[in-house]
Amino acid sequence: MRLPSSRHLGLAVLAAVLVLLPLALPGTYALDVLTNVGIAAIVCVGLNLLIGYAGQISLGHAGFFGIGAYASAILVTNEGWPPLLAMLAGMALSGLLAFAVARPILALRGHYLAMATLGLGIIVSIVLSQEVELTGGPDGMPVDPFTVAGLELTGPLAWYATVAVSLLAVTWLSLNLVDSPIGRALRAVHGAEIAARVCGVDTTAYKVMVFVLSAVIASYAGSLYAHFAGWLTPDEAGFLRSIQFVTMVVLGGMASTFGAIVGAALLTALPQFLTVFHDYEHVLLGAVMMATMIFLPRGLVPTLATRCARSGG
Amino acid sequence: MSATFVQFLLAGLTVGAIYALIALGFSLIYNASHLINFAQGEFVMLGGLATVFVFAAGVPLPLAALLAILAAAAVGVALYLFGVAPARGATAVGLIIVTIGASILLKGLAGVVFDRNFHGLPPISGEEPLRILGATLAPQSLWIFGVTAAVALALWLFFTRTLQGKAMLAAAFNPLAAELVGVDPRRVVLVSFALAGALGALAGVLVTPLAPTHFQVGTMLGLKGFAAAIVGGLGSGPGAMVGGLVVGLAESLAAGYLSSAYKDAIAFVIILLVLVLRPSGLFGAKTIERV
Amino acid sequence: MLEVRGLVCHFGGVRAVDGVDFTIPERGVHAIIGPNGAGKTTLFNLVTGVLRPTAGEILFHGENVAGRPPEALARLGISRTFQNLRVFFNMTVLENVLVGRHLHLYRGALGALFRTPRFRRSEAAARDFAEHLLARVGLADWRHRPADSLPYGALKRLEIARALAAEPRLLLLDEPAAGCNEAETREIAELIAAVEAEDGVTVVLVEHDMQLVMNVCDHIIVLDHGRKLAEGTAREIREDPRVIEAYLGRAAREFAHAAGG
Repeated sequence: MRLPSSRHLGLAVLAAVLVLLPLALPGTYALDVLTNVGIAAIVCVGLNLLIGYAGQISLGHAGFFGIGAYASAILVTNEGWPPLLAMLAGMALSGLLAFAVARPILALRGHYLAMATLGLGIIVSIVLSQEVELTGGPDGMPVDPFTVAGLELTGPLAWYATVAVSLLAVTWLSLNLVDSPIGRALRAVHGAEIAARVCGVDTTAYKVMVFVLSAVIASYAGSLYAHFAGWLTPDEAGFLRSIQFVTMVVLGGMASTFGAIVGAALLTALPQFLTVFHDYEHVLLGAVMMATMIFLPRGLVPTLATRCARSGG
Repeated sequence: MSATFVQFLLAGLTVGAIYALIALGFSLIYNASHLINFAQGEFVMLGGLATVFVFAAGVPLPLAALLAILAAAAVGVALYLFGVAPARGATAVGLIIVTIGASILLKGLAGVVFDRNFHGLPPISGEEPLRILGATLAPQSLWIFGVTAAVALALWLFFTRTLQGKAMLAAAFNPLAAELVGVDPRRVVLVSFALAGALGALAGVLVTPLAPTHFQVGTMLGLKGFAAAIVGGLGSGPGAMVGGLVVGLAESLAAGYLSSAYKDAIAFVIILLVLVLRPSGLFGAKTIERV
Repeated sequence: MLEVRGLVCHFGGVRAVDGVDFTIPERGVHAIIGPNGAGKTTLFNLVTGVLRPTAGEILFHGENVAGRPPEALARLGISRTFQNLRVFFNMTVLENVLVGRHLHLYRGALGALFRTPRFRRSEAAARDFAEHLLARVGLADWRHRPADSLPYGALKRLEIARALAAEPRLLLLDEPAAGCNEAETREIAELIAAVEAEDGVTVVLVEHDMQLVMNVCDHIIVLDHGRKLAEGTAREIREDPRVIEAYLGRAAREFAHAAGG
């Protein structure tokens, strides 16, 4: 049964885990991995709003991640903008692009929507690879550190804390949105679109809204990533990255905000801890994608939640 | 007509014929199962790489190519049996993820089983270019035109003149009715996956002498083949042929006259334009579900 | 309140609705009946904007609304249920009704993201309203259950509650009693009567259960082959020879056919 406080309970658990993790896994390397997990999780929480709740797939979200990352890289490193302003500019650019393409693209369904979003993402990554003057091309470009009011964000713990707080905030906002007329409208679009429209839900407007929102969130995460990594290549905006984001959402569990975080954690951390399998990274990712859809079509968290609820009576 | 223009035209037609072969694979599987096989490009990669390695082991080229094509057909069957069929109950999004997963898995396996280097193949009949209106044409291009045309003709005869082919079309149109008259829809889907695998591999064998292959070439080739299938109208055989040529020509002319850096982006711009403006493609029936 | 003039809807060669005229006055319970394939559900789909008419006018309070999308018609106060259930199976019972309440809610994105006091007041009021409606249709105890765990009869009532949550002025019910047993049908009849009498909603229903139709409806329109065959009170319809022919004649012929005649 869904209790009104489940939202706060989940957030409290997430906050506790985020505080305890660096204590359980000390060391620079572990913290860096955890920071990468957090950045991917931010993207996935946003993407889950689109895929899990509204039922609209996007195979191009790394494009928005890349726009955010490169906006920060180019505006801060080349143009000397304050990082916060560059980040906002990236979010605005991602949001505008998402808004511009959303209406025609979201009129498509299923495979067609998948292909259209994929095309969009790939076009972004091609532009980023080809504008060598601006982006350094396929070899990448350096990114200056993140500074606010003269203070530089530096050291693994500071980065981890920043990303953890961001993830907590995005999760809180996402949970709030899901449990609101907007979130219900999105789920209604997924459940029975025509009935949603008969209830007065302007389904197109909500699809556009959630597409833009998830793009802006991905862009924000991309900006964080650029400064955190210090070096950026167009691969971060590429097809494989988009697929990884989608797989994280699906593996963790569609229509489950915490599932998206679990999926991001598993898919980011596992390859890091299994570096011996580096050659098998693709094999592993592909096998996980197929196995998830075959054996756990609802994803890890919803499946486990159902099992627990059953065994608990 | 200037020689450069003819040169771009010939290059576009060559690569377009390859896209057409890939697009035919998309359409075959789409007709049989209403599924878009995102792993289609991997068949192309497998066909090329497998031929390279079997050929290098001392097997004559034609036999190596045949073995590679049969192997890709077997991979196509395996993809259906172990990937698509067990996930049959999944949503559209779920099936997309399954075939993308298969694509990444195949790519990864190819990287491990073969290697991660670029490889070429010798052309089928010499490298002495032919001269046409001041432009040059590799003899391999003629092979590509010829084989693609022959394959298209063979498929057309198969689907219109043979009982098995007609049964497949019937099953695609109405699986239940076909089953009632004794056509096994599962078999139809299996044959489609096998054929799509073989067609993709054939494209790989043909294109490798002109463009070196690599374990990661499948993604781009697959997506461009999909663009061709979409332009022509998913599920339409003639559409796949025309779509392939259109995408190949557009890419070649854009690379020549606009910007060679953005050559790879052309196919995706075409995908977006066609999906948004005319989702049923040039030859497709209006089947896109809109409420 | 609702006036339909020369309404036509073709699918390819099939004339599902083929030139229908009728008027539904304000208030009352009205029925549209007819044999299977008469065009009843298509008519509902046209009036609620799910389908676009090929020709003709649909006047709601004198304004031609033909061809407007469903969400625009919902804003004017038209609500409906579906013959083939269109429940949001991915949500709880209460959430289904809350979607029905959508147009009456504070829907600002910032309010939702940051849960402002105004947003919380709106949500609390909506929950009270929805729970009250669920109690009315007998689903109060199920409100936190996932909709996909409900039996068929309960889903029918859930759709009615969801439609009522919009506080419509015109409510279209597509076979509200289909698949319900006698007791459930009686409850639905009482609910329909109460909705009309207490809430002042004009109700139009498509129904095959003639007893329900004759009991609760003041005004009946009979469709056959996409055209209006007859119109009148329950008594007039029961005695109309054309209606008897359309129903009984067909049944008699089918019976004869089935018997090998």
